[in-house]
Amino acid sequence: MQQNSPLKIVLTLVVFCSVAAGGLSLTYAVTKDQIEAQKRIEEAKAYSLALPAVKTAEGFTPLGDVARAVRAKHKEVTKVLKGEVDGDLKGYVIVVGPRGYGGPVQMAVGLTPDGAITDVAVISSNETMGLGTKALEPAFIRQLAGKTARDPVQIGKDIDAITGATRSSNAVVTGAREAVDVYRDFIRR
Amino acid sequence: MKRLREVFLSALMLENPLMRLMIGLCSALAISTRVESTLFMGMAATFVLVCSNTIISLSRKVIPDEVRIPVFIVVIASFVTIVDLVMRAYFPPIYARLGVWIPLIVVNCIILGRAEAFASKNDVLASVADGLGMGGGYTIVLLIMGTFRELVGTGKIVMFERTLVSLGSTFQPPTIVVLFPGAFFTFGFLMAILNKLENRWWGK
Amino acid sequence: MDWSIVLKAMAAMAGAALLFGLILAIASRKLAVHVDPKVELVLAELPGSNCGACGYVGCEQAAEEIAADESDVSTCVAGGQEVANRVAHALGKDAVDVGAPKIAVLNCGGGCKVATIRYDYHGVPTCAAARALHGGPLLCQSGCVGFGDCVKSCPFDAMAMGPEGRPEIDIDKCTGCGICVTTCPMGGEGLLALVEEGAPIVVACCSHESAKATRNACPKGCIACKACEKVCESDAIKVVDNLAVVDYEKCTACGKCVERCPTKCIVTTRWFQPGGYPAAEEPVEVEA
Repeated sequence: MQQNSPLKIVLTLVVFCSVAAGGLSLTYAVTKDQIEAQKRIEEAKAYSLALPAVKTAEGFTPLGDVARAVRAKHKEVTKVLKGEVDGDLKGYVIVVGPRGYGGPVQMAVGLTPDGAITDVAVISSNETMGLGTKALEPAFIRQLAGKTARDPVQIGKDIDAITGATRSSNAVVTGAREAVDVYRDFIRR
Repeated sequence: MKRLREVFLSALMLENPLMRLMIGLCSALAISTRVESTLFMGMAATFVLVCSNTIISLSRKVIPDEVRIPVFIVVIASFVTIVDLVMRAYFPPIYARLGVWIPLIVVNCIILGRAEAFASKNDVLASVADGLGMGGGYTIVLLIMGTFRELVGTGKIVMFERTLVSLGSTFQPPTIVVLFPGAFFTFGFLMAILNKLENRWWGK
Repeated sequence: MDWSIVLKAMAAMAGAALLFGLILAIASRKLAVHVDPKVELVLAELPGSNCGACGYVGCEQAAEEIAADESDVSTCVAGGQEVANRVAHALGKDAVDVGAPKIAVLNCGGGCKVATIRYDYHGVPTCAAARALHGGPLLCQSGCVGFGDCVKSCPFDAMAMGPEGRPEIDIDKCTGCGICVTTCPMGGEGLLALVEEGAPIVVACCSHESAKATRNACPKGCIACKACEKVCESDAIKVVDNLAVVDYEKCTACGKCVERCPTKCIVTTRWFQPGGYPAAEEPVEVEA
């Protein structure tokens, strides 16, 4: 094994890394806007699923100050938005990420102007396919419809868990619980 | 030309990465729960493999031995990042499905292994042929596993939100097939079947 | 087009590359492995088949030991005199006499197709596994069970399974490394043995059972009738412990014992050649 000069070693590595960095940053620059746009579309889709009354992305406005205040108490809440159609308040969407079996379950919980759950849309999750994912399906989430902060919103009390998917079920219910709590403590004023 | 064909076919069958060389298994076991996922994973891996093989083969004479591993990884990681960005921008549902397995293509044994064992020692055309063969072989095995696991483990095959095949509502799918043990069982049985067939055809 | 991103990325990567490149350059000097050039010279003369007959793990290790003077130039058993000479020449040492080259022979004329079988064996198809089950499917406890562990172990491809369920040994390829002898579960009891390359005859039986037991167990076994001992004019073959034994120093290759043996268990070494097993009726010729 012949020895290469330190200069050749360092130079080769620097050249390869620089070229790679150049190519990658160019690709990034080209795709950046499209990626942002996709993210917006995904989010809007989720919000509309959670609060069906509002169908467009523009109808949702983030409530930054409320979100900041909420995050101090509820660390898993990422966003608080209000949904309007032609200036008419149709409800709210709370984005929360409780810990499930395979990681955080990012979900958007839709609430009526009075704080009752309309629907829950799952944005991302890593639950077990076929088992934990059953807790993300309409059949399970249906149980949460209409719940308010006054209801227990707890496994065993008013919600039935999926057999064999306790943690996943609990995650979804915890998220819903947090959402109604946020409404009661920060929004209903 | 004949050599290229030999290299390609050898990489595809005789030295199939999953069934014979036994490399790149972790991604195969994890991703083969859905036909859709396996299809795109296979294509992504093949793309990265061919591109990295090409670049590494082109520069094999100038890479000093002392830094060959960092250089290989930089090249491979760059192509994987390109795949990641492009998928995120233009194919979000696929990106969501494959998730963390896209960045893990960087450490897929097939890609680093072929870079070290083949691309760094052979000319560009042969390296491309090897990349196509290895990637193709990987994809084919992945598709077979994915078809079996999705069909038997969930009762249907779903592609782009559309159910292509369904075994009917009376079929109670054994969920274990799409869980981790099922991956190993499927892989093991596939290998056993392959060995049996090979013995019969080539009489060894 | 925001060029600052591109510049920042390139600067960051180049900086990292500079740092790690320096670390690697320094490391490759400080941690370099010093390779003795003599090892390369010796290694070039060794066969490179890593058979392990020399007792070392492979040719590389043998080369290291020879170059470090821990082992003799004749270390390579498989290479024989020729390799010993080349290694000596490469190191500038004097040549050493290795002794007569050896070949492997099978001391059995029976096996599963010829001898008496006690039970049908349906197990793992290896000699070791078959022998582990109460001594194997043959009534004769010393016989060749024929699953070919020896054939698989030969690093020079000199063995192959013969038509009668016993291995054939190609004398041209056999280097006398002895790996088949150690692999064979009966090797220690003499089923496979190494003899000098020029040995003309071999007793194809290694069983020490009495005449009656041998007759029941195998038609080709040595029944210790001493007919060979009586007919030998050079006192080269004697029956010891129910088995005929050849003294190769005295054997003149006259072939009388081969003719006289009632069970035809004394054979020429040509018998083991591929295709060499004669049909029962063919006369056996002895070559000097």
